[in-house]
Formats: sequence, C-alpha cells, structure tokens
Amino acid sequence: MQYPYKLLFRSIVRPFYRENLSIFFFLFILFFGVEGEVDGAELWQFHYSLVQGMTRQGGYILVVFAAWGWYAWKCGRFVTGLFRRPEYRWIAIYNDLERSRRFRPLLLVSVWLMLPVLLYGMIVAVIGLYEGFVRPILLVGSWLGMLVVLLAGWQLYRLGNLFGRSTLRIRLPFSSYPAVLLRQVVERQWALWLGLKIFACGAVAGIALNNTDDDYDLCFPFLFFNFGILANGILVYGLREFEETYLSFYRGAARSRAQRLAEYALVYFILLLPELIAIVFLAPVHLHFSDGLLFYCCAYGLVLTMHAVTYLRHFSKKEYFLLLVMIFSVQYFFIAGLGLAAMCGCLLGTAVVSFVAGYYGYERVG
Amino acid sequence: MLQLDHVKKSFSGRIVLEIPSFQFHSGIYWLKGPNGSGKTTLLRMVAGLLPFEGNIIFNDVSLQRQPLAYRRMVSWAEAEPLYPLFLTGNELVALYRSIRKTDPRDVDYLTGVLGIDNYIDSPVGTWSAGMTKKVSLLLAFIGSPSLVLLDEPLITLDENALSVVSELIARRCREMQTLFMLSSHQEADMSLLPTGEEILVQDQTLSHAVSI
Repeated sequence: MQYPYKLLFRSIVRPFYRENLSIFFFLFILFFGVEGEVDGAELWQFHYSLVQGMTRQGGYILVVFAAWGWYAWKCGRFVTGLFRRPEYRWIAIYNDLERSRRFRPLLLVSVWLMLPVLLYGMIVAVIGLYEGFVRPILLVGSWLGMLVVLLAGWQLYRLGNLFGRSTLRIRLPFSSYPAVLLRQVVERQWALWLGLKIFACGAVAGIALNNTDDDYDLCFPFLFFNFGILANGILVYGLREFEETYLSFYRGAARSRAQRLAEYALVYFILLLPELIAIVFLAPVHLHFSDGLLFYCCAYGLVLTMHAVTYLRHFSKKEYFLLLVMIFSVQYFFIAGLGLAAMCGCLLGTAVVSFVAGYYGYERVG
Repeated sequence: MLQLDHVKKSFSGRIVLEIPSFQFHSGIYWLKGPNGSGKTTLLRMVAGLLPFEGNIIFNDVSLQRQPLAYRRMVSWAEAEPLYPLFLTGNELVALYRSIRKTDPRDVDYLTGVLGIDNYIDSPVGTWSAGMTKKVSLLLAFIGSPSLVLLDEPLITLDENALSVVSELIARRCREMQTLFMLSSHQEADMSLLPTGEEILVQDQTLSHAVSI
C-alpha cells in the first residue's frame, strides 16, 4: 500500500468502522438475527426472496437505491466531520499533491467506506445473474460505482475546502438546554434519527396492520417495535458523547436534578413523537388504545432508561451496546410473563432511580 | 468563605488530592503546581463537576447537601473551553442567562470591554481559540457569582484582553468581594494581579506560599 493511502485508511476508514460499529451491529441483527422464520421461509430463502424482489420490481429497487445513496451521504458527512476536527488539520498536506494523486487514494477509501453496501450489491448481482435479470444488475453496478466515485469526489472537494463552512445551517428561535440537544440531532444526527423512525414506525405499522378483531396479536408487533426503540441507543449514546464533550459546563449550572430530568424527558418526548403518531394512527382498529398506550410508555421508559444508565458509570461504546443487549434480554421476561404494564413501570422506575443516583456522581475517566 | 473538609479525590485507585482542611477567604487565589498536581481537578471539584469524598462548603452552603443553592453562587471557565460548534455566542449567552438571572446591561458591558461584540452572533465553529476563551470568561462573569473558578484564565488572550480581564477580576474582588480561584503556570500571569495569594498544589494537598 502506498503511504498516502495507508495514512488515509488509518485516519478515515478505521475511525468510521469504530464509530459506526453499533449501527452495523444493529443492521446485522435486523437482517440476520431477528426474523428467524418469516412465513415459514428459512433465513437464506428470506434474503433470496428480498433480492429477487429487488431485481424484479422497479419501485423496490428505487427504495434500495435511495437507502444506498443515504449510506453514501452518511459516509460523506462522516468524512466532513473528521476533516473539521483540529487533530485532522495535518490532512491539508494532501492538497500539495496533484489532483489525480489525491483522488486515487480517496477512491480506495470510498470503496472501503462503501464496503458493506458493495458486498450486498455483489450478492444481488450474483442472484440477479442466476435469475437472468441483466438490466437490473447493470443498474445496480452503475449506481454503486457512481456512489463510490461521488463519495471520492466529495472527499476531494472537502479536502480542498477544509475550513469552508457547512452549507446547511439551521437555527431554532430559542436557547434552552433541550433546544441545544435537539439542535445537535437536527444538525448532526438527523439522518440516523430518521432511519430509526422509519424502522420503528414501519415495523409497528407493517405488522400491526394485519391485526383484526378476530386475529389480534400483540407480541410480534411489539417485538419489532421495541427493537426499533432499542436501536435509539445509538442516538442516545451519541447525544451523551456530545454532552460530555461540548456541554460539560452544564453539570455545574444551577439546575435541580428534577429540572434536568424534566429537560431530558422533554427531549426524548419530542424525539419519539413519530412513534406516538404511528400508534395513534393504528388505534383502535389495528392496535387497541390500551395496548397503544403501553407500547408508547414502554418505548419512552426504555429511551429514558438508556439515557439514565449512562450516569451510573462511563461505558465504552462496546460496553454500552452489551448493556442494551442485556436490557433486551430482560425485556423478554416481561413479554413472556409479567406483561407490558410491569415492563413500563420497571423501565420508568429504573430511569428515575439511575438518574437521581448517578447524575452528580458521574465522571468520565479515560 | 470556601471551606474544604476532608476532601479526597482518586482516579482509578490513585489518590490525586487529599486535603484534610483548607479555607479560602474572599480575594484572589492563584493555584500553582506542576502538571498533573491536581489544580484543574480541584477547580472542577469545587465547581461541582467532579464527584469526591468529603465536603466543600461555600458561605455555609454545602455542595454535597445543597447542590442547587451551592451552584447558584459558583461559576466556572475551563482552560480550553469547548462549546457546540453550531451555537452562536448570543445563543450561549441566552442559555447562561436562562440559568443565571442577570441584567442585560451587564452582558452588553462585558461583551464591549472584552471585544466580543463584533463576533458574538457568529457560530462557535468559526472562532479562534482566543475568541472562544474570551466568551468563556464572559459566561463565567455573567450573573455576578460569588465564587469564580477560572482554569488558566489568561492563556491564548491578546495583550488588550489580558489587561481587561485582570482589571475585571480585580474590580469584582474589590467591589463585590467575589472569591476568585485561578490556576496558572506562568509567573507573568500572576504579576497582572499582584494582590493574589499563591496556593501550592503539590504532594496531593494544598499549602500557602509566600504572598505575591
């Protein structure tokens, strides 16, 4: 490997996979861990039929293309964020190279960043060729190739404009602590937030729509819905990291713990509004009002718990996601026996106790 | 008066500070000590940002038992402050003013003397280290707190700002009996505030040094 590329690989690709480990873990569980059997189909057959659908139906392939484009855009945003950091100022030395010598290593970096999508694209291509769908396969190849080149081009542009300002600038007309946290989501994490909402709302709506008075199932929609809520842990962790880095002064501010808890409760209430709306739309035909209320209260309690436990001690990203897996496991006991009302009470109680006990005692070490 | 009572702080089992008893009366105190001696840790503890064993009491209000009342009297500025890059100076000021009641004229005065008024409406991400430092000092002065903790308050400031900040500290101390705890490595910093008392942070505890 040439040195300019090796350096970029270590500075961009490694941090990217380290930072997004949780998202890949979530997607892996989503695709290979959760569904088990769907309508009697084995795991492999399930994915095979997904790919078949992609190559046969034009609308479906457009949705997949949009998702891949979104992923490439997220990669671009990540690189832009890295280039803005003070410790990345050295990267300006690449601007001394000729344009083509700058572009080549960035193209390789783009391939690495897009690797998960490219691998999936290859699976699609193999199945598509086997099925004899040449035109969709050519489309997939062209689209992925274009995304890789565009991503490399974007990195090249950002490299040449290291100190340029972001074109997107959103101002909210008020300044309070919850508003600052929400702005962080709006400015830096909105794509993640949107993805999480699409999944959670899509899952609950897609499955609960099959419910009728005669055939009413609560567990299956809740399981998927809850998994989507649990994935909000990625957002929660990001917000807490942001707080500890940029808003540490606020711990010394004259605010009681009750006020602080109320501020976080407001933030998460706003962030969970789409789920609330989805539940309201499903009730009462596909989801009874009481069940909808329990769904939402469990979701709210879970998000507050995921936030509050971060004050008990500092968790590395890996430790935090293991903790989420543990919470998910404990939730099974409630789903299987104790019921959603008990789960809701337990989650809200855990959130309040963890926050009150941990807030002033928290310190970040390392 | 600020009273430290059996204060102990450890990181990963290693004791950084162990102060049986120490008192700071109103005035200016310079914390001195080598790197890693615990100056910033002490300031962060007094600011209520770090947990510790023992008790810290300011004007008969305990940080441990009355955390809210204590925090109302204290303000803090970091050595190398970091704020959300998308916020403007005005938004930061508004956030602070939502926490600590203050006269808007005081803010206008401080932004004027510190030379912040020409960039206060731009985002933090466009500021230099010195500009950010000035804003952090402005925020520490907002609301006339009785105890002001400033970690390396004079680093990265230009000469004009140095004299303005020194004058502000001296005046607050003289007119409002504010207690200032400042940390510094530079003798030159201390010469700007000759009435300050020097406190040595070494061997995990505090001791008085000769007055400067």
